[in-house]
Amino acid sequence: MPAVDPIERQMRLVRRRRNLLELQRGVYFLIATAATSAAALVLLALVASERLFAAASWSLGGAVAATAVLLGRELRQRWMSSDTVPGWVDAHARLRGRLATLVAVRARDAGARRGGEGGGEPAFLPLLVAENVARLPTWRPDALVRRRVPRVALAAALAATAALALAVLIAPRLRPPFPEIVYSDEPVDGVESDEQTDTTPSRIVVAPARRDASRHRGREAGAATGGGDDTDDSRLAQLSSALQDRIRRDLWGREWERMRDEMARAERAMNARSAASGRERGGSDASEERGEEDGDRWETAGLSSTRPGGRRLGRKPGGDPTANGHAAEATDTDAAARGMGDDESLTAPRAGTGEPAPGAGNETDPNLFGPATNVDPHGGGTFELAINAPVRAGRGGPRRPSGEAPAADHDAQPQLGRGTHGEQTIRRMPVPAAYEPIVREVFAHRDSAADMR
Amino acid sequence: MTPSVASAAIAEFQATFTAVRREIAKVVIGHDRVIETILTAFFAGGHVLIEGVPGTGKTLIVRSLAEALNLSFNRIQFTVDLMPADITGTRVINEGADGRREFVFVAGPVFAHLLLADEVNRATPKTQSALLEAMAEQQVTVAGTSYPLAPPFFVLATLNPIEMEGTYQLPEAQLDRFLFKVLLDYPSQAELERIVGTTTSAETATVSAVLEREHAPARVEELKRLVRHVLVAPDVERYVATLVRLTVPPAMRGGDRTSAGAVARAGRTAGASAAGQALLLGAKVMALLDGRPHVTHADVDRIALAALRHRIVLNFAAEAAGIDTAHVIEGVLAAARRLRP
Repeated sequence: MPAVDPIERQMRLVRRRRNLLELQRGVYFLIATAATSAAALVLLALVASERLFAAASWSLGGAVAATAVLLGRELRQRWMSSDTVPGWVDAHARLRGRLATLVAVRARDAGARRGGEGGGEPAFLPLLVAENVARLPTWRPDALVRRRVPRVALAAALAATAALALAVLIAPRLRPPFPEIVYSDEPVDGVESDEQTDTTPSRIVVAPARRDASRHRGREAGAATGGGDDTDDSRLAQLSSALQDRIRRDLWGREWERMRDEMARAERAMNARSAASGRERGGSDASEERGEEDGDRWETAGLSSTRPGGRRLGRKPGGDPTANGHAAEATDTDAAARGMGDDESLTAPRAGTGEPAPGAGNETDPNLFGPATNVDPHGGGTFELAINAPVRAGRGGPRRPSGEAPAADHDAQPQLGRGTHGEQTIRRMPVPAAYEPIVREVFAHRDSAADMR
Repeated sequence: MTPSVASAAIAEFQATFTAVRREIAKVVIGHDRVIETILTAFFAGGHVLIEGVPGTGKTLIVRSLAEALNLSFNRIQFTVDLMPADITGTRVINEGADGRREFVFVAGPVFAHLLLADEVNRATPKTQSALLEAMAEQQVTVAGTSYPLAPPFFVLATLNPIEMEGTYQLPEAQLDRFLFKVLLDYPSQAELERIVGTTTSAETATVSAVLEREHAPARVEELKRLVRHVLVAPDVERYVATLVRLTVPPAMRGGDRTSAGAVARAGRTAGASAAGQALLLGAKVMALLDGRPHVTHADVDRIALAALRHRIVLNFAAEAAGIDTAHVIEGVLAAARRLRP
């Protein structure tokens, strides 16, 4: 009887070649899926908002996972075990069951012999072996599994990888301009464009939050700074946010890190101001404090330089646009003179009806020491200046636009003597290091005798 | 058996089979598929039940087969008054040369290689059983003495589907003794033209013997043994078992509900192990005819209709609905194919 070794060896080769092809196919399709998803993720991380990116990232992750599961299942179905090789070869080489019968009959006879039930060799078995040996050339591995590489899967993987590389290459072009960060002590409702899609604004304003708009703008600003959503601190949201931030940092490099750091500093400054405001209002009327609790929040508002059809920054919603416009024009010159750009309301508070005049109220005039600049308030270090000068912390209303002295408010605590109530001393406040000589000069405690002289 | 010997044996089987079929085709016009099935059953060692109206060539087929194989042939016309002894033979008192009388067994017509039992359903069950014993045991018992039948022994029984009055329907257990059942239809227009032309001409076709008379029985037995050597893979055996199992109506199988839908609706009884044997033996002959030393699923499918037709008895609802057995078997085959790995 001809040896069956060549048959078994060729079956192993066929199986190996076929399984390798299927494995490649699965891997290539998985690469194609993952690379396509990664390319989409990169582009979305650069141009989409945090919320959109979160939704897209989880969707794409789910799609990749589902595809991986499907590919794994298909690979398992198509994976050729040693038991299925004869049948597969029979079907594809049209051996009409010769190989499958030979393998099965030999296995059965071997089992019977091991069990002591072995009879003689089947009469036709040598003929079947000879027929299979004679037909070996018809099912060579390269004839049966023609391709070493699955072309379609490989092409898909290469195309997807190229798309990912292209996305990485064009990533620097998608980097937004570095935003200007300015600070304001008064609320701005100047997030002028609801259609604003770029998550990185051209200008960041650190200002007290408005009751109505603070929530939405706070979220937008948070997205711009790459930080998490204040209202959604879930771990999943943080993951997607961290991923988006990571992608931006990796693709935009040091510029993005610098921009993000600037925004973080602005955020910290905002928080510091908010805390200072809270302390300042600590002695105020409790009911008033409760009533204005929301209004004491601080926010960062992203402002774009290009504002097609948007509202002008500093214009109160529902206010007199003409009056505000005049006020804006009036302060524009000063703002320009201070080199603050074209957005006058940031640096020159408005004097509209019901609006606080510069320096009015219990807040510190943001331009007390000159125009606000981009100087990092914390970059050069800060110093704590003890200020014992009494600051009137009573309920200071906004100054009238006419420039006249505001009417005295109703005395909420008549049992106290005039001039004693509502006064509070602010002991310390953070001052940028750049302002140190000026502040020390202004707040220096001189000898009263010398003053008398 | 070396490959060359085995290959030669298969080739010789093919040649014999083809020659016999060709010789029969000289006198029997048409019915090629029926002739092939009858020859398949003959070489598989089984018996055939033919259902067909009178005058369609049943007797001619069997006689031609006997002439081609050079085997002995007998014909029994079953009638209601036919007795078992008329089939098996009987013991008669014979007076010897010395004047001594003794019982001597006179062999009946069953003692032949090929036996045509014409209209077997017209005889009483007692007479039928005499034939069926010969079919199953390859022997007859008369007065307590068993007489073996000389191999090969091949019975071809016919059923007349018309004139059913006064007939005795074969019980399912006796139907199971037949390997195959074939239906002999009316000849087609072209076949009928050839029949009337050849049977009325001056020159009548004759069947030539394929095998020599002395060696014919032994040669046939060799060929039948060769059929048994054909290899069957375990998965083919599994397929056959599944096929037979699917013919069993659910009501007959307890909790096992994996029967074919067609059987579940139409089947009343089904085949058992004999059905599987018929399928596999017929498939082996098919494999040899195809020049293969092994059986494939296709061989089983080719013979399934003939092997299962008389084993699936339809219920009343199916008959009333006009469902025939062939339709049910097609459903069984489809279900078995779906279950194949």
